[in-house]
Amino acid sequence: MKEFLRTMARSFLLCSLFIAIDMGILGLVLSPDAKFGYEVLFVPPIYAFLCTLPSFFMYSKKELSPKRAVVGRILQIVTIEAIVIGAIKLQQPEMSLAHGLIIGASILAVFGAVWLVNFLRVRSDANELNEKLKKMND
Amino acid sequence: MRVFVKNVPSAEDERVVLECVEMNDDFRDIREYALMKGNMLSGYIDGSAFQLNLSDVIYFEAVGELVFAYTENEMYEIKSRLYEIEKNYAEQMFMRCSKSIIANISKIQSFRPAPDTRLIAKMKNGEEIVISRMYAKALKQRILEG
Repeated sequence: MKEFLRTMARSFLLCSLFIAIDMGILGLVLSPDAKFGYEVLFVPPIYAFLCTLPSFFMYSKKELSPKRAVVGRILQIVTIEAIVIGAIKLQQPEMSLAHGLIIGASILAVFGAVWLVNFLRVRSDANELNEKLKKMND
Repeated sequence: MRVFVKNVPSAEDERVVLECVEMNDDFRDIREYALMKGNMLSGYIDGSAFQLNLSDVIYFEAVGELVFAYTENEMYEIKSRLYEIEKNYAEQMFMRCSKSIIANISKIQSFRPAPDTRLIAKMKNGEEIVISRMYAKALKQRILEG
């Protein structure tokens, strides 16, 4: 559980970062003249929390096989899409389909970026361990 | 039960001799314990007992209530619990990789990241073991510290 919470905390921080970047890029492209108050600073952590929330419901003490873990990830992204788009739709009922699709793509991009950072971290660990194993076997 | 202790000049001469009318559960337990303290352990295939060298074991796996030892060519049932194996063989290159697996570190060929961002260890017999996040840090530390 401790390791799970640590992973969730890392994912939350990464999500906050990438959501902020995503909002910045989309804002500059779609609505460069928009002005916001300080409350906009709370948007990335709130949505990052919504994005990490499904992981708590999907937490299992059982070890998942890599295949089942990938299925879990797919379910997770579908749930995140539904939660985030649902939350935005509640705030902006007039949201167009195009707007919804852009948000959907943005969520995928954030999810992908978080995954990539985690994957590269584990790959770096694997490379470090392989170097050590090579030395041990020589 | 009478117990005799006799001093011997060297470690090579150390042994446990069991003298019993029949191999009952008590003697079987003593035998398992004595074997576990050395570098040999007993494994069972279809009820027949075999002696196997600890260094030949690639990994131990718990499947339900049973524990199996996997070597290059065989799979033996082991009459010990996984936590006992973990405790007894921690000094001998064995380390917990997940809730159900204890692997022989010296039998790991390489590591790679899994798509779900867990580590996967490829063993020298070609099998792959998923390293649980819970045990990955300790495993990494142990290997890097040599």
